[in-house]
Amino acid sequence: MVIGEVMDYSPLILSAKLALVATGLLLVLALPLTHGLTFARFKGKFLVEALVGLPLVLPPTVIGFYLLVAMGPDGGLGRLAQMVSGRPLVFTFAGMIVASMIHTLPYAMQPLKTAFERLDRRLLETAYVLGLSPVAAFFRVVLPNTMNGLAAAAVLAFAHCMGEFGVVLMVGGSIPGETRVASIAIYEYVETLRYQEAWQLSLALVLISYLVLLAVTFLNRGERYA
Amino acid sequence: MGRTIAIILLIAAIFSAKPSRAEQVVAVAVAANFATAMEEVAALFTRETGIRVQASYSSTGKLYAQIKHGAPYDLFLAADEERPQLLHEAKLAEVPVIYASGRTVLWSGRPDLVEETDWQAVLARQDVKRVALPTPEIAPYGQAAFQAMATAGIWELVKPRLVYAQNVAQAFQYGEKRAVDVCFTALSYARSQSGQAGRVWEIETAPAVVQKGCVLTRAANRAAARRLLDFLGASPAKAILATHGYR
Repeated sequence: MVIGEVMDYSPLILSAKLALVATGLLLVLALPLTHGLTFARFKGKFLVEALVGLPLVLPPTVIGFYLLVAMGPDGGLGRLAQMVSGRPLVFTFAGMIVASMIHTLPYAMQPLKTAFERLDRRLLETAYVLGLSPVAAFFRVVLPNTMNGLAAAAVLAFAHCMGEFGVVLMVGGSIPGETRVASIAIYEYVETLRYQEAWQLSLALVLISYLVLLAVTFLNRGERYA
Repeated sequence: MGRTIAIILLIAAIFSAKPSRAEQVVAVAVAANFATAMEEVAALFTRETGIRVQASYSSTGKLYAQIKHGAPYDLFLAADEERPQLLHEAKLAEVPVIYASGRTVLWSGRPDLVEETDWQAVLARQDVKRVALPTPEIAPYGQAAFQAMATAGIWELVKPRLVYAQNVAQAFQYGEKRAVDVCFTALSYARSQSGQAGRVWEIETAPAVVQKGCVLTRAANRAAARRLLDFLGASPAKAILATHGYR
């Protein structure tokens, strides 16, 4: 538990793992959710829209506090996890993924929503007239035409998870190798006056994030549909 | 046109609003564990001297970094001895003095643990699966708990069950919300209203956490800062500190 004399980069790897897993799961979750909120018509839609946007408004430590309660042994999510895996969710890597996903959901949904709204409705209507099922239409018409939005959602979600601090500080518990991610490690270096290490880890975090964002932007270049 | 002028006047009024009479204010940077005690001491100090206390609560490390970079505080009440000493060596503070001495305790909100009489017996239980500890490198109270565990030879036993908190406040919060079974925290938290709902075990072998304070040389109001630091050492304040578990 003593922070080693040699620079320890494991928090960085943990951060990258957290961001990648959370982003992947988020896209799977955000795609149908955003699709539903954009195209479906139901009563109280605006209520759901406002609800998923809440993490944008609430301070991260406040979200973290509520998640701490919800994911603890007495909370709903915690009890559910206890039944499934035998452990409460709080202070585990899985718990951090859940927390990051909830906090990052609006960041993943916003670009998707914009992309869905821009989609030419005539394309969809044509697909239905030609006999495509809604699911087939989603994969063969909607998705290929909203790749930009998907890429933007992935970038935003990844960046947000990578740098997230307040929520994971609350529900993580800073366990080395399991929940001590880069942002927390940097914070702890600063707290212990080890500014040199803090600076090194920050630089590495920025570099990795920049490279990932660069890669996505590069891959996305060829996908522009006018 | 009239409306524009009205809005400008309104904005000007908001920004020019000042306390009605000139009053003395002392700005204090306070370590988070001392927050509840500070509120009471500050109220008494203001009543007796007429000097208003403007307290900012944060971790000692963060306050130290802020002060080094010119934060406009008059007095620094740290949770350790090291940081005030470093500021003094950097000529940013006068000679530090001890203003409080805190105790590290083990605390739990679990009703079934009430019967246990000894902190080591609590930690030896198989059903105590999660233990919150303020990160020893950051938090002096966590350091004291670590030393007590090392002395008792149970550190390796407890280590796999540890969850690290940023400070005593967060460790206590984890315990109070039952996210952990037991937590190491400061006696001041165990004495708080929510702390009294649980069970506290004293740790005699944990070294006392000596908290030092220092008047900052850049202080806008050095005289008032010195007065408050002296006030903390006088008997009325001492009595308040004792109810919060400080010596």
